[in-house]
Amino acid sequence: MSAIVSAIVSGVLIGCFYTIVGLGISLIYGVMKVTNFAHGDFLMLGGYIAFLLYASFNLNPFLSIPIAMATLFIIGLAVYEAVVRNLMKTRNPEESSLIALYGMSISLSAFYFILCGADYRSIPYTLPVSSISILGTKFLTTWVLGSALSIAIALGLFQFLHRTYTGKAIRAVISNVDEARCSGIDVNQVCRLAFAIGLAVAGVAGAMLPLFQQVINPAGGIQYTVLAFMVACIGGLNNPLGVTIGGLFVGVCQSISNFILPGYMWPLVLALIAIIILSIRPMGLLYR
Amino acid sequence: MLKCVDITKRFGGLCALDSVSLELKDGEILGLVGPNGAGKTTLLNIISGFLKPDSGYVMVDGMRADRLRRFEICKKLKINRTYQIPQPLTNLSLLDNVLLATVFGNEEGQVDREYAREFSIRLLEKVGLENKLHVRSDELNAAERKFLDLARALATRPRVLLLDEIVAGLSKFETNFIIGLLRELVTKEKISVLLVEHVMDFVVTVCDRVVILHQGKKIAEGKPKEVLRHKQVVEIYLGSEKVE
Amino acid sequence: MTLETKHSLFLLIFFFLIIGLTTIGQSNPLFFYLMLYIAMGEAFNLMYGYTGYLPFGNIGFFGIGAYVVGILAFLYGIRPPISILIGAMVSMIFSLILYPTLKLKGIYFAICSFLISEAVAIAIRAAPFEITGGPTGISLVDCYNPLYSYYLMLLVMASILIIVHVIDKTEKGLALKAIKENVLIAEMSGVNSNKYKLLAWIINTTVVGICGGLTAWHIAYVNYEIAVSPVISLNSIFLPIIGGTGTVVGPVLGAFFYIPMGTIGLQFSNFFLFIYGVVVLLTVTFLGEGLLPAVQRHIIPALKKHSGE
Repeated sequence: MSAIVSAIVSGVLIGCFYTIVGLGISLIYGVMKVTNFAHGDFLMLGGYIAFLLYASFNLNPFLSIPIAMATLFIIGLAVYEAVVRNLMKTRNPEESSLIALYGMSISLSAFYFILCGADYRSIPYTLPVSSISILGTKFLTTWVLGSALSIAIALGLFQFLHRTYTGKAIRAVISNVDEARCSGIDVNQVCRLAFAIGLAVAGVAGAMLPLFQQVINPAGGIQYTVLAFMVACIGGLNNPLGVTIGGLFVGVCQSISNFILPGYMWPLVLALIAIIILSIRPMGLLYR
Repeated sequence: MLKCVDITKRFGGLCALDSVSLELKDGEILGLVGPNGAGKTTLLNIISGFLKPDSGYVMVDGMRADRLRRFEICKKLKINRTYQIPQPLTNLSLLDNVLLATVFGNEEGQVDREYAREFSIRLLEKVGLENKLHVRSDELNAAERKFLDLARALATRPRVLLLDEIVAGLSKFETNFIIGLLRELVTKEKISVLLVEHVMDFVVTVCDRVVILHQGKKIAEGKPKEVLRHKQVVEIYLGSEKVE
Repeated sequence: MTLETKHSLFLLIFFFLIIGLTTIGQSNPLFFYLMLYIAMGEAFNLMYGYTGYLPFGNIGFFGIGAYVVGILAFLYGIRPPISILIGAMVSMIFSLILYPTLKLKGIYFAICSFLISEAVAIAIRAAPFEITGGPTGISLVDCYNPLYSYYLMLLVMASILIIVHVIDKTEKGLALKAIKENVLIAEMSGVNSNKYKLLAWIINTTVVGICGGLTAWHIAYVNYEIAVSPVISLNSIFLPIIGGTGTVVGPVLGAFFYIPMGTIGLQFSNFFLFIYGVVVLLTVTFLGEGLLPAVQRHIIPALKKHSGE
């Protein structure tokens, strides 16, 4: 496999992860028009949970994934009731949630600094094989596992949204709040659930950070928030399926960018891509 | 003085307006009627500059609207309008809503502040809102919001006034008030009015002429009583006698 | 007794004038930073409270202003305050280039401008060290003049306060507020929305650019952390929001919240950041427009009732 193709394959692998990162923010925005600017920091919380469980109890990092999911789900319910519900009542929920949750993001970052210090954290994985060969090129097992896991979670979420009654209710609210309300759907419950699911998915992504050699650190949240937003914007803020495309696109772009340009230029490239896309079609390429 | 020439507008596959032409003469009140979906509001949106037609153009006294920006349509072509769902500026007081239009709708910098205030207050008195000058506009009821829209539109001293279902939901008393006001605007202020309406009594009472739109096409035009008896019009509203 | 805005602004300017003459004022950078946050807060306020755009990327222009001053001194020996003026012009040029971003609505503009400030930060880091002085930055020690820079900051602060005050009291403020609420209606009231958006945008970015240059001069040092400083960025967004956007006095009130951070908070910055985040969260969620409008709307009428007016 040539170098550029292996770069693209890496991009696809991490793109699956980025899809998960973006799904939560897309779901939350689609259902309740709330811009979760603290998404990355909740993601980081999932990472910290995984790290602390490993550091304190030597827990197998794979087991921390469902624990992070459950914890973030519960936290999501609480945050919804305490904060988000009230944010939705403001004049301009999109903007006020952007500012308010930016505040929450800063508070969370500061909280992580105070609690765990500024050190970068990670979790080593001990696996039977450290790399897997695909078509002649070696890829890290953790990356392959991570992307397989991401695909599984994404599929699970889509099954939930399309096969279950609750999932359909969520899609109904995304499509048209008023009509959903008239059909007897308890919109408030749907929003609460959607927010909790969104945070839970973020938590899972956070717990998976070490799989992709990404560090867990206090200030790292914002970059994932921006990434999630980019992925969701490209795919369409009310189209969960589109987020998949967005995630893969961003992943591949990153790989190619790191292939051609020095590594630190990637955020600049991402910024440029984002500016272009936001100017042409801010609601997303696949927005319905 | 206002001419719409062959206005066509499509939304995706739907043809909302198909080569519609009409003329609003000086000092007349023209009614635009038709069933829902006929394209009436679309035409209003095109005349007021909210939408650009796919083909055709709007002309006022020989000046074409094509290349003008919205605020120029307001200031240069002297067109203004009210809205089906009233759009008050809720972060400004009532007086400020009208004051804004008074100052900017006429030539900026040439309007004296005191005079602008007086003018705006008088306009609000004219529409019956003098007691609510410093009230926030989101505290008004539905009828009051319509009157505010009207005051704001009049503040820019338009020569063409477009009304979008202004009497919908108004009481008999309020409707009569509007009728009186419109007649005064036409005779004293020399304003021409194009109104979109469903309330037929009102149309017959106040309009000099009526244009009927159906599925994007103009199908009839003339004096209200004559047009409304036109066979095709009756068929559109009440259905034909034939049973399929 | 109501204090007219005009008078409270004069008092404020007078206060800083006097402080600058005292030893406390001259030795403690706190007062400079207070004026900085008042000025940056008013610029933010002009964009958000009046025109309805969230300029999350203002820090980018701050950084440009700071580095222009640093680079001009470093490479060409051009000293402030002239270099600050040049920095202002460079900021203006960038703001004209970025003017098309104003087509984006609400949150997209906020995120886009945030990304642009990130891009500026990266561009500065990626630039050759011979120009930017690299991670060690540029020292402006031979231009060091805390008194002169303090009073120039006072002038800038006074100017933006007066500008925003005049806008607030005249029809220009109405036009901007109309644009914030409903651009279509504003246009149908005769407002040339593009012209007014441009006006607010240029004032905002130029003031922020000047502030960047002034800060570099005052502390006589420019480096990556100072130029595109996350703390200054946060404060320039949070303080006006806490204080209240949409009025002239709100951001001033907000800027005074910097005092705890600027004094004891220097050692415990994370603790204060945590509190700031929570305060912003609570303010936006429950107080809508900020502290000052909430006070005006609820506390003052209650006080009036209490004193039996």
